[in-house]
Formats: sequence, structure tokens, C-alpha cells
Amino acid sequence: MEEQDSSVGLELSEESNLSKKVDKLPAYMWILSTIGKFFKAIFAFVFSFIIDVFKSLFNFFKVVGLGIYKGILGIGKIFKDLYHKFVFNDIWGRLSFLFFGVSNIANRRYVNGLLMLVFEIAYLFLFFFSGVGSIRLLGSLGDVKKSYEGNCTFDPDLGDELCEHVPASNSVLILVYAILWILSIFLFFVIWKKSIDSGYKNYRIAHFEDFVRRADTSKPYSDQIDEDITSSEFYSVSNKELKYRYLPVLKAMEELADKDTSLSEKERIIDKRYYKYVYIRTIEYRKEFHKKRLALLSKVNKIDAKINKIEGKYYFNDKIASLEKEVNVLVASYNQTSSDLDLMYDDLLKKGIQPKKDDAYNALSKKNHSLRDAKIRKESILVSLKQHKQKLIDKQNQKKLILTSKLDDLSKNDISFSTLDSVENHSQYGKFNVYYTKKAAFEKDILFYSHYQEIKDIYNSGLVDYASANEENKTKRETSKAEYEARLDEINKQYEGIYARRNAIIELRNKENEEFKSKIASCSKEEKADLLFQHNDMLKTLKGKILSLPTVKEIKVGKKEDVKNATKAYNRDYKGYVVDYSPKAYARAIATDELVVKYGLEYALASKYVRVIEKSLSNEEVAKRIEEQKANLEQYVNDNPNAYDGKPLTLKQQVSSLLNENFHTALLALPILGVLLFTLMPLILSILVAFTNFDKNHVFPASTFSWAGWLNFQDIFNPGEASAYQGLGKALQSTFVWTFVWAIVATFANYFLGIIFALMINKQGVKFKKFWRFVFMLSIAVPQFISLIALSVLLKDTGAFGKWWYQTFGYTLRFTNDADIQGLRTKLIIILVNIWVGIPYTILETTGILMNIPNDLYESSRVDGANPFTQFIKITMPYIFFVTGPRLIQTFIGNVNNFGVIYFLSGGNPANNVIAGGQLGYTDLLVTYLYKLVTSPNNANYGLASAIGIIVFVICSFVSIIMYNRTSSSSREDQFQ
Amino acid sequence: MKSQKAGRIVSLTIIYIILGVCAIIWLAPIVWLVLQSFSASTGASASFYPAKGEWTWHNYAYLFSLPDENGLTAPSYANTNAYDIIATTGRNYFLQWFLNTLIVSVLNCIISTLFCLVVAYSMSRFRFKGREVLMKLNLVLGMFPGFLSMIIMYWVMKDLFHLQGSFWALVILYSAGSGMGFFISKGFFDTISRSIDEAAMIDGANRAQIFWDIILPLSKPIIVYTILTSFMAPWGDYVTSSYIIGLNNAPQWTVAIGLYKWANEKELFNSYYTRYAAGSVVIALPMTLLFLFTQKYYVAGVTGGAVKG
Repeated sequence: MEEQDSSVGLELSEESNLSKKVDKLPAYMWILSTIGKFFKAIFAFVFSFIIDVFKSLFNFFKVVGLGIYKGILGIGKIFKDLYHKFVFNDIWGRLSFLFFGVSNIANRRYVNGLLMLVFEIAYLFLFFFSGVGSIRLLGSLGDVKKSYEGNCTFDPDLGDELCEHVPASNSVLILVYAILWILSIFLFFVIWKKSIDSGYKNYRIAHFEDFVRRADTSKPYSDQIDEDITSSEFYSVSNKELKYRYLPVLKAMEELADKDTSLSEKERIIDKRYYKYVYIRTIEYRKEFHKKRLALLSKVNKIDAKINKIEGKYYFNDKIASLEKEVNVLVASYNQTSSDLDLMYDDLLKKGIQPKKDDAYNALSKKNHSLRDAKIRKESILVSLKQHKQKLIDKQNQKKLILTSKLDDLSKNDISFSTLDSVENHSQYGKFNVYYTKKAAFEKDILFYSHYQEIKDIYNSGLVDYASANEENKTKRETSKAEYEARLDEINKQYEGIYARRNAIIELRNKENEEFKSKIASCSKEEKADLLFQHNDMLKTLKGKILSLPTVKEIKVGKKEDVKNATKAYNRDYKGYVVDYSPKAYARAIATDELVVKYGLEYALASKYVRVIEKSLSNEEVAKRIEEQKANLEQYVNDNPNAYDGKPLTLKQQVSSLLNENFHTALLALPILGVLLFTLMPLILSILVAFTNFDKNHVFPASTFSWAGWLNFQDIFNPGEASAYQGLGKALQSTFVWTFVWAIVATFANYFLGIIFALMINKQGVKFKKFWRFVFMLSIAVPQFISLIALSVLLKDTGAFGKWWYQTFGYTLRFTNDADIQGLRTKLIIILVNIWVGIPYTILETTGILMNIPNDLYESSRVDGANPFTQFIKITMPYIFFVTGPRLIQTFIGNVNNFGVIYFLSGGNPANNVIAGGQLGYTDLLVTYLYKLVTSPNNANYGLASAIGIIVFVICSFVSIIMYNRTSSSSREDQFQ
Repeated sequence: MKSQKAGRIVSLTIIYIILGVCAIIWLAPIVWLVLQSFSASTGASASFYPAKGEWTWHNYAYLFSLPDENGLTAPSYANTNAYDIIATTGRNYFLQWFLNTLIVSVLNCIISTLFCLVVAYSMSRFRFKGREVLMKLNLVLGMFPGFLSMIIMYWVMKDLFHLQGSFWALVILYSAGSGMGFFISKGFFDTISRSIDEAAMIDGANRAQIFWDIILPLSKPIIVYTILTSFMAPWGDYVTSSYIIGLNNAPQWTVAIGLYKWANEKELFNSYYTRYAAGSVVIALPMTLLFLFTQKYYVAGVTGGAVKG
């Protein structure tokens, strides 16, 4: 047995040696393997990127397709809704489909109704006199000379052709007005819908009782659905099945309506129609509900599968199993050697030999120690791995919990449409009804007076009990104070204990050290080694103990926190007991509580009633009041046979609601109008302009521009022989390439260099951290255009840096006038300057993130034996990337559109003389070329510039959609806990 | 132990050397700019600092039409260039540009801050129909490059509003769409507990009162940040302002256009370079201070959204 164990131990140690050897590969091998890994990673990245492109394209079309499908369904729903609102309506409601606000006027809401009607008339009037004309002009953009050419007639009076005299119109204004008119049609539709809705609302308020009655009679539906859910668990997405299920209910209800003699013929028809409506909608709701349920269930299943996967295929499962085995073996052999050691010790003592001088004993003891160390090490790794696994599973379980609770909610809310409709009836159409609130007030009065005596008893008992209540409060106050003091003592003791333990251990170590020093001074050479070994062992365990204790700082913080919590709790309790009630106040408090808790009255009303009790009414008086209110109630009900007082929100109330529940409409109106007119409309206009020939030669008043189809895009990609932009397409190809090379290099250079600088500044031991940060901050605090212009002047051959360069290296820098290799020199310098501009931003962002990385991550990785480099690659970088990843996309897009750096530094130079009079330079980005195109005094071409803008937008949005998918998919994988 | 310590010292030394060199590189252009602004020579000088005896205040004096150290007023030492005194007002150009920019930025600051906070409050506290649609629309609109709408806005401003070549057009352009920048403030409002709102509502306050009396006083930092960023924006913007105002309407320019002209126009460069430097310092100094004081909000704005998302 013993031999076997030792052999196992040997194997283990050999194995660990081997693994160490792998770690300590010679440097050149390490470099080679790293390069290999690097290329592997790049290959994987490129490959997955290509896959992602296809994936996102697929997703994009899926989303668009689904959107169109849902949109068509939505339009269907709108029509169904309109049909319903037309059918269940009176003549005024139906008329308000055509004439806005007619129903409001008929229901005595004159101001609202008139406003709508006036809007309609004014809009239609203006639209037919001006709007139609503007939209019609959109076809020719005012370029009437051409379009009327065939119709020109000779006018004998003028002696000329009529069409010649049609003045050129301003195409920009035509575009603007036409778009405004087209947009305003939406407004018209919004008011139209509002008119229909208010007509329907008026009708439902007027026939409130009818709707309530109908909703009550359609209870069989909800009964059937309750049964379906609770007992038979009937769920279906098939129309046929659902129809089959609910048709009998409909038939039964129609029969009931037929038998009901209290209904008039007209009412019966409407009722039956309503039942049919509920029937159709119930089927829809049930179907929708089940779809939602299925989606949630599938999510739950997915999470279950994930948990199974983690349990079965967790990355470290093999390692855990092998570690468990190893630990078991180690424990067994450790126990064996320990008992062997004890036996041997006794044996040796019996033989009269000092055990510590025996070689065999010492060897065994050494082995025992090493086994114990190995055991502890392996165990800690095992535990941390297991914890990690558990954490992953816990996270999934948490998600599952949320989903299941959602599922629960869903099953509770699965009610029939008739119930929904009646709820809506009460909430949407009943709340304006003064009738119901008044009726409720009478009923509350009756309720209160009929329980008058009980509440008065409680009140009276309060008048007597107040002293005991105060007494109780006082004792409670005292006990809470005593408790608080006791708690403080406890905390003090607790932390003193910790301190004491810590100090004891430290003292012990010091004592050991001193003892050891005195011992070692006096002992022989042979003893020294043994002593040293023992001492080290002892120190190790002591150090472990000290490390396991909290540090002094932690103790202080912990104590502070505990004291704070205790004080908080005490203050809270104490405040609760601080009132010394007067007899009246106490009586009032308990009586009000009774009213609020038992009878469900509002607090304000309850306290009002308590005041009534204080008047101490006699029994007769109370009875009289009950009678009175009952009579009042009856009379009120009789006086209002329609249960409708015709008073929905008045205009004044509507205006004041703009400061309350509709405050957001008031707030958002102006900003949204601003965005619509000055952000959205210009975008639409610019997109339209890209399809026109709008340039320097087609400007009002000299001329007009007209539609040109895809001409501008053809100029960019494939300029024809006759085009003024011959060669532009070819030149723009290199601009495209440069734009993207620039964006990629600028983004990543700034990103990684910035992180490196941030790490350097934040490294432990580096001093003056704030100063370094300040230095870098300064270059972004200065407005960018100022520092960039200064740099561009510095870098010129006549500038300070350019002259210094010439003096030092003997040739000129030629920053913006060296067109060799497509201006490579300028491009390199620009990228360097951009690093100067951009790094501080990354430092600023990264510094905050670096401070937030949880320290546990580093500590647990240290247990696994990770060196700082691995920690950087495996923890720091992924964490930073996780937080700043989405931002990286924005930076990339920002760099594609980075006007400032290019324009101020080089202005696009060196010029590419081949094209458009040298306008397009070698370092021009698409956007700087766009700017030059629109500001050029001689060659301004607005249509072409808009086309370039659109292309930039399409590219940017495409890239950002793909990158967004990538980062979100990578963050979804549970890399961070 | 010893080797570890030595390694640490070596690595720290390397870091200090790198940081030191970089600090010089990063500071040099800025220091150079400041030094140039005190130079008596008018054009760009090849030396890093002005020679002895060439130090002067008169670049600054020129900017504000003050007498310089020799008691000379601006016009007397200005060469007879079109960019010195506006004939109609008798005002120095730089002062006029400064005034224009100040008007634009103050108006923009007021309108933008209002729009931004108001939208943020609505998005944070109200759940209304179409809220999600608005948020998504905001994202999509934000993807369009600003250049695209700028092209047509010049013509709209010119033909519809008759604001051709005027800085008043900039006020509309900068502030009208500013409601779209509500994201950071919305994040801040979201952190203010809703129970405060509810408590105020029980006390009988309406939504407007809650906004003015409770939420706004609680969110001072974000208000300060919004005000500062919207105030600073017009000072640094060259693209929109130069395109909308045009490059031949000097009395209407903003500071950015004027300074760019001074530094980049070939005829002006030699006589105006040091004045450009002085002007840059005048503009950059307050903005630098503002930025340094508000950078923590900047960081919060940048990283906050990402962490929450």
C-alpha cells in the first residue's frame, strides 16, 4: 500500500514538473507560438466577421420582412377598428367620420367640436388652393420652360410664344413646400382619427349602461375561458379549433338575447352584433396570448438546455473530475503518511532515538509536508472552479426565474375580450362620469353613518387609552435606545476581538522570530537546516492565518459601516415612537386607521368623518342622516335616468391636464417640431436633392434645377464620356480606400495606444498620476480647431517644426506638397497628429474603467497561476472592450466623418491634379470632398454632394449594424460575472 | 526579491521616460501657441519662443481695440487691410466676431438646454404611446451625417427665411434639433428615485411643479453639464458656420471662421499670424478651464450608457 501511494505522489510531482517545463519554454519558441496564436486569432476573426456579415444581412431582411408583415396586419387592424367604431355609433358619431367634431357639438362640447371643424375646413381649403399646386409642381420642380415646350402657343398680342414668359421658379422652395404639405397630410389624419375617437367616446359615455349590461351578459365567455385555463388547459393557435370552441357560447348568448323580452327589437340587434364582435376578438386575443406563452416557454426551455449544457459540458469539467481524483489520492496518502509518521515517532522514542535526528523520519515528514501543501493548493483550485461553475448556473437560474414569473403573470391575465372591454368601459369611458362619483359619495356617507356607533366606540376608547399608548411608546423608546447602546457595545467588542486576534497572531510571529534568532545563534550546523525548515513551516501557517484575517483598513471600514447601520435603524425606530399623543390626537389616529383599513376610505375623507364623530351626534340624528342620504341617493338616481350628465372633460380641464398627466405633450411639442422641421425635413430634402441636377449653374433666380434620376450616382461610380466629372469615379475609388484605411487605423491606433498610456499612468508605483492625466487632458480641453490649425502651421516648411526638421535632417518635410505614392507622407503625418489629438479621449475613458475592474478577478486568476501578461490579455482587455466596445463603433463612424483633422491639417492636399481642377486631394476624405464640393466658388455641385453624403450614410449604418450585432453577440456569451 | 525590485525600478524608469517625452510632445504645440501670441513679429516665426526684446502685449491689445504698451491704439499700428476695422460700425473685426459668437452661443445655450432637459424628463418619467418609436427614430436620425442636411439648409435659410450670410441662421440650426441630445440627461433623471415624485404627487403637486421644484434642483450637475456643452459648441464649430454664413461676409463671421481665415489665407497669414495666436489663447483659455472642471461629467456620459446597457 505504502509503496503504491508514494509512487502516485511521485507521479504527481513529475507531472507538475512537466507542466512547469511547458510554461518555461525557451524564448524563441514562445515567440513563435505566440505569433502562431496571433495569426490563428486573426484568421478566426476574419472568418467570423464574414459569417457575421451574412448573418446580419439575413437578420436585416428578416426584420424588414417581419416589419412589413406586421405593418400590413396593423393596417388590417386599423380598418377593423374603424369598422367597429362606425357600427357601434349613433348618427352624430358616424357623421364625424366626414365632418370633424360634429359629434362633440351634438354633445354640447362646442369649443372642441368647433375647433376640429374649423381645422378641417381651413386645411381642406388651403390644401386645394395651395397644397395640391405645390405637390403638382414637385414633378417638374418649377422647370416649366421644358415641360411646357410642346404646348407653347403663339400669342398675337405679344408677338411671342407664351411659354417663354413663364418665370423660372425657385426649385428649393417648391421642394420645401411640397414636402411640408405631404408631411401635413399626416396631421390631417391624426385630427381625423381624433374626431372619430371622440365621436365613439361620446356615444359610449351616453350609452354607458348599455355597454355595462352587454359586458355583463357576455359573462359565459369569461366562464368558458376560465375553465379552459384552469381545468382543461385549453391552448391553441389554430383559428378552426378556437372557433369550434367558442361558437356554442355565442349561440347560447344569442338565444338568451332572443328570449329576453325586456329588450326592444333594435337593442336586440345591437346586442347580437356586439356578441359577435366579442366572439371574433376573443378568438384573436386567445391566439395572441398563446403565441406569447409559447415564446416564453421556448425561452425557458432554451435556458434549461443551457443549464444542462453547463452542467454536462462545462469547459473545466474534465479538470474538476481529475482534480477531485487527485485530491482524493492526495488526502488518502497524506492521511497514510501522517499516521505512519505518528507510529514512527513512537517507535523511535521507544528505541531511545531522537526522532528529529533520524533520517528516515525526516524524509517522511518532509514528504508529509509537501503532500499537505499540494493538497491545499489543489483543493483551493477545485473550490474556485466549482464556484465559477455554480455562478454560471445561478445566473441562468435567475434569468429563468424572471421568465417564469412573467409566465405566471400572463396566465393570471388571460381573460376574455368581453371582460377587457368592460374594464375599458369603466376606465376609459366611466371616469369622466360625474354621475358615478356623486353616487359613490352618497354611498360612502351611508356606509359611514351605518357604522357610526362602532367607530365612535373606538374613538372613545382612544380617549382613555392614550396614556397607555404613550407609556408604551416611551418604553419602546427606552428599549430601542438600550438596544442601540447594547448593539454599539457588541460591535465594539466584536471588532476588538478581531483586533486582538490579529495582534495575537502578529505577536506570536514576532515571538517566533525572536526565539528562532536566539536559537539559531546557539545551535550547531546540523541542527540549523532542520530548524530553518521547521521555522519556515511555522511562518507559512502564521502568514496564512494573518492573510485570512481582515486588514486593519477593512476592520475600520467594517466597523464604521456597522455603526452607521445601527444608528440608522435606531433613528428610524426612535422617530416612530417620538410622538406623545394628546387624548384627542390618539383617538383620532386610531379611528381614522379603522376607517381606512377596514372600510377602504381615502385618508382625507376618513379624517373628515372623524371630525363628525367629535360632534357626538345622537342615535336619532345618525338614523336621520342615513335616511336623508338614502333619499338623496334615490332622488339623484331618479333625476339622472341616462346615468350620463354630458360633462366629459371641459376645455379648461383639458388645458390644465397639459400641466399634469399630459405634461409630456406640452413639453415635447416644441422639441419634436424642431427636430421634424430642422433635422428630419432637411434629410428628406437632401435625399431628394441627390436625384436632381442642383449645382452652381442651376440656382435661382438665373435658373431652376430638375430631376436627374441616378445621374449623380452614375457620376460617382461610372462617369460617362460627356460628364463634367470624367475620372471622378476612379479618383474617388482611392478616396474610398483612404477613408476606410484612415478610419480603421485612426480608431485602433488611438484605442490601443490610449489604453497602453492609461495603463502606464495607472500602474502601481507611478507617481504624479494627476499631473500626467492633466497634461494629456490639456490637448483635448483646447478647442480642436485651434490646436489643429496651430499644428498645421507648425508642420509647414516655413513653420517652426518644418524648419527644425530641415536643420536637423537636411531635407524639407514637405508636409502637404509631396504627392509621391498618393501623398503617403502627408497621410502618415496626419495619422500621427490624430494620435496626438485622440489618445487623451481614450485615456479619459479607460482610466475610469480600469478603476472599476473588480479586484476579485485578478486574485482568483492569481490562484490559477496567471502572470501579469496573461491577466492583461484575459481580464483587463476583455473588460475594457466590453465596456467601450459599443463606443468603438461610434468612434469609427466619427472617424469616417472626421472633417476637422483632415481639413484643418492638410485641407485635403496634396492635390490630385488629374480630377476636377485639383479639387480632390490625396488626403481628402469623402466628407471633406463633400464640403469642398458645396463651398467651391466655381464648381459647386449640391446634387453630387448629397449623393456622396447618402453613400457615406449607407456605409456607416451598414458597418454599425454589423459591429453592433458582433459586440452584442459577444457580450451575450457569459464571459463576465 | 532583489531582482524583482530591480525589475520594477527598470520598468518604472522606462515608463517615466516615455511619459516625460510624451508630455513634452503633447504640451509643445500649446506652449508654442501661447508664446507666439506674445511675439512682436506679425508672421509665423521659426523659433520656438520670441527673441529677447520681441515680447509684447499688443496682439492682445489689438484684439480688444485697447491701447498697447506704447499707448498706441489699434488702428494706428494696423496695416490698411480689409480685416481690421468694420467701416460701418467702426468696430474691430475680432470684437465683432466675438460678439456674434457670444450671441449665438448664449441663445443656443438657453434653447438647447431647455429642449434637452424637457425631452429627457418626458422620456424618463412618462410612459406614453409612441415613446419607443421616438427613441428609435432618434437613433436612426443620429446615424445620418450632419453634412447631409447642412447642404440644403443653406438654401432653406436663404430662400425661406432670408437669413443669407447671417449668424442668426446658426442659432436656429444649432438649437432646433437639440432635443435629440437627451440621452445623458435622461440617464441622470432615471437615477433620481421615483418615490420622490410620488410623494410630491400625494402632497398635491402637479407634474409641472414636480419638474420645476423637485427634479431640476436635484439635477444640478447635469444641468451645468448641458449648459456648458451647448454654450461651448458654437465656439469650436467651423464647418456649419463657414458654410452657412459664407466666406465673404466677414462682419457676420464667428470666431472660428475668423481665426481660420487669419491663419490660413495666404495674404493674411504673414500679417495676422501672431494675432491668430493671441485670439486662440483668448478663446481657448475659458474653454479649457470649463472642460477641466466638467470632465467628470464627460466621463460619466461616455461610460455610463455602456455600463447600464
